[in-house]
Amino acid sequence: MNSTPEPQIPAPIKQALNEAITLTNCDREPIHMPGSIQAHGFLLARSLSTDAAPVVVASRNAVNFLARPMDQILGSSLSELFPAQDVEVLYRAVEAMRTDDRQRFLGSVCLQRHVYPSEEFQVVGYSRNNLQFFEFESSGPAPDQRDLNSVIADFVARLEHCRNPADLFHTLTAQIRHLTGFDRVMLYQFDKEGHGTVLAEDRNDRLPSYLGLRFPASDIPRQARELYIQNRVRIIPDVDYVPSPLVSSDNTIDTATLDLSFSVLRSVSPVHREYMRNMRTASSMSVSLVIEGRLWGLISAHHSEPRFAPYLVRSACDILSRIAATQIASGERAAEMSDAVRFKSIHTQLLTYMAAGENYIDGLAKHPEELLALTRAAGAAILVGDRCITLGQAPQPAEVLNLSNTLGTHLSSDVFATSQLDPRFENVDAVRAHASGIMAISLSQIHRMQILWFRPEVVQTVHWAGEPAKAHEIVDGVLQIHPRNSFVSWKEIVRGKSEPWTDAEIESAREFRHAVLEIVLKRAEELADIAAELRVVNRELEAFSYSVSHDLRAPFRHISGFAELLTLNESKNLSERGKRHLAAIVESAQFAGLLVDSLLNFSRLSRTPLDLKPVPMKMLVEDVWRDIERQDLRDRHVSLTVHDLPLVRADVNLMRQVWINLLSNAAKYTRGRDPGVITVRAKQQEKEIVFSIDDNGVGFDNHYAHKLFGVFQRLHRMEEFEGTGIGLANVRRIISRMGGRTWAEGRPGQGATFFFSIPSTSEVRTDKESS
Amino acid sequence: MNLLKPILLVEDNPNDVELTLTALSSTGLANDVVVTRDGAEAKDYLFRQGIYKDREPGLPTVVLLDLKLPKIDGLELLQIIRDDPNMANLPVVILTSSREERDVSAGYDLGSNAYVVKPVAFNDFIKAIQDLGIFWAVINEPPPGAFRRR
Repeated sequence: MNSTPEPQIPAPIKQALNEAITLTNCDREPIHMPGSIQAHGFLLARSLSTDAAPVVVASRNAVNFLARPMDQILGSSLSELFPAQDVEVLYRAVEAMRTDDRQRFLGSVCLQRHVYPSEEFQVVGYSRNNLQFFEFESSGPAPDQRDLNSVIADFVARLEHCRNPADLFHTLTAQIRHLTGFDRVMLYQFDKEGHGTVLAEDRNDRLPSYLGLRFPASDIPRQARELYIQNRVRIIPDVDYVPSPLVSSDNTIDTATLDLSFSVLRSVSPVHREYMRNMRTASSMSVSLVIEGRLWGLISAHHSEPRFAPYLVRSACDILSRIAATQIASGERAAEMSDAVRFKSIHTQLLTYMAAGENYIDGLAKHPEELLALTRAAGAAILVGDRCITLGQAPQPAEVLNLSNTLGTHLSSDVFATSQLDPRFENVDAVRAHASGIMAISLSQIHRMQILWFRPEVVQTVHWAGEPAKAHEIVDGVLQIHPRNSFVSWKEIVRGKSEPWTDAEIESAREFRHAVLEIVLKRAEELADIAAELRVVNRELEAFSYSVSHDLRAPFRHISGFAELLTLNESKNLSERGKRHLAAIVESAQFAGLLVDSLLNFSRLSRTPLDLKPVPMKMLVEDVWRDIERQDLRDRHVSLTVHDLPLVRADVNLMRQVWINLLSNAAKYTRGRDPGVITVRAKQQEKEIVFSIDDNGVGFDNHYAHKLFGVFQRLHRMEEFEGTGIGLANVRRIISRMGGRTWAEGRPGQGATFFFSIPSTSEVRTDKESS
Repeated sequence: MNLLKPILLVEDNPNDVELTLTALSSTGLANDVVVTRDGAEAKDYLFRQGIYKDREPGLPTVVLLDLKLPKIDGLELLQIIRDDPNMANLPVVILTSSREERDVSAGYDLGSNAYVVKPVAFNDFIKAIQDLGIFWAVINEPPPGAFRRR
């Protein structure tokens, strides 16, 4: 082992270090209740209950603005503190403020007894925790509302000319800079992890460009994000302000925990002020871009010197940003819609292929383009059990199986998607190139049946606004958190990441999974229906043949029986012609009975189960031939030559029927040959053993060879060769049940050869042969 | 009165009745042949009930049983016969059109003594009946304990 001792770090610091890799412990600072406000205005609050309620909370700097000692401010009613025309302004929305907690612009007041150089104050009111807050922002003359109206109208008009999001972003930043006069206005968008990337910027040369840089999520703590959604505009006119603490005459009110979420003057975190100083900005303003309740992005304005934007100007910025946000949202929605439509059409195509294919997995595998387009992936794999088919740029099948094993239960009922190589994977290096991004769905609860999509590694170069990791330091054994000093572009190479999967792509996979499951279910139901139907048909068929067996034979038997009785008992009363007719009746009835019996036998052939045992074919052939010779060939000369035939696993009764049919056929059709010559051979081929029965009989025209094995098919006239025409149909049925084939070749006038094959696997090898 | 025990023929089809009787008579057997036209009537005969309640007691020497019968079919009747201790050993020959294996095996399972598929050719039929008749009615001794009256 080769280990170097780690530096000794005291446990508490170690813990603090672990917690504070970035600025995340800012997440715990209660920034919405700083207990103080900024210095460019003052705050008064009174109980919500009555108009006569006295002021119970004030910012300490109110003393200067109102030129009264604190004990005269606290406890006084508004009408005691302000002249009548100002009270009228303050009361303008007092009723509305009782019913909701929205922030409202109340108007301007002109304070007579102030010491601050400005006379005009903009008043904003809101209610919170049963208190009515009035915030007075010192501002100079309010801008002309008509100017602001025309700015908004202009902006909306310009939006119509924006062809893409970049245009829109630029129009917005430029407009806000024009309205506020800040040195630099940036627009950033937050990604899923909360990192912000600067997408647009409008600036002069006094502040550096941050365009394209990435700001880490920790720059804006979590609770600040929440605040940004509730209170969309914030301004810090002078980073070096001296905070003015809140004081109260009511000891039930803890000014340190008063909720200032809706405040316009709220004091900001010291960390944030340090951050601003490090950025070399003396003032800042930000406007939230909120889409569907989520903080989509931020307009951030900075100035190298202290700078103020009056409430109405900020409000105009907010309106512009809201208009832009709806525009962005509708753009995103339109893009999602067009994605959804495209994905939907790919779904439909794939499902059609799947339904048309013999099994639906083939349908997928044969259309890699569509399967990849479904999620805009570069590669894919289809896993069924331990089988893996890969398409496009995918890792080796063995690696894919590994991945699937690692995914395990994550895949049970939903879509798994990652755009970052999971270190749990066994062989990270083997899959990184093709499968840094993985999306996967499972199509079965019981078996492994999965589709995986892959995206290749995209080695990303991220330009951070300063090195994010250097946000903490230990000074004298105490962990101190500092925002970084430098915002100079800091390059980071990110590996093991792919292009992220968008919501639309993930949704596409999810919907596809549902659609496939529906098909699978439907197919299972259809199969069950067909099986049930088949059972019914089979039962009917059986009942049919049962009834044929009983009922159809009887009348033939009766005809034959009575005709024979007639022949026996009444032949003396019959003419020769009559006797001949009677004989024809007997013969026909008996032939009809024979046909019925043959048909029943034929239908039984496919119903009785196979009883497979080793059958020595040569012995069987010779045995069958002896019977045929004895019965049919007494006065004929037919020679049979049987070559070596293998030992096969077969149903001996059925195989006997095959040989009876083929050999008696050969015997029958060599009638008229002297001698008749029949030869039986077997030939081992690649996958089957082929048996042949060769005769030198009348043969047949090959043109009709295909008809030979059909039921009741005959190629010769009845008076030439008797028979029901069902023998070869029986042969075909038996052989095909054993997995073989039947065919024949004829040479008119010269003979015929009949062939049947059985699978090689049926051959039983004896010890002697195999050794 | 014929001292030989009768042969019981259970057959619903009149043509088959006539042909079978013709075949039996051609064998020269002296036994009477009782013809019942469905399973219920045959049962009445065997159990001496219904129209047969007043008949002489005693069992036939052999039952020639068709399978497809009205009311009580052949296999059901065979089951009834085998379930009765007095008739458990009564020879029963199934004489039917059916070549269906399930009938054949059900017949043997239920204890039929022979199963004859009626041949279409009358000559063959006569031969089959002769063999049966001679075997059961004349040559064959009833199993020990079977009721026998001369």
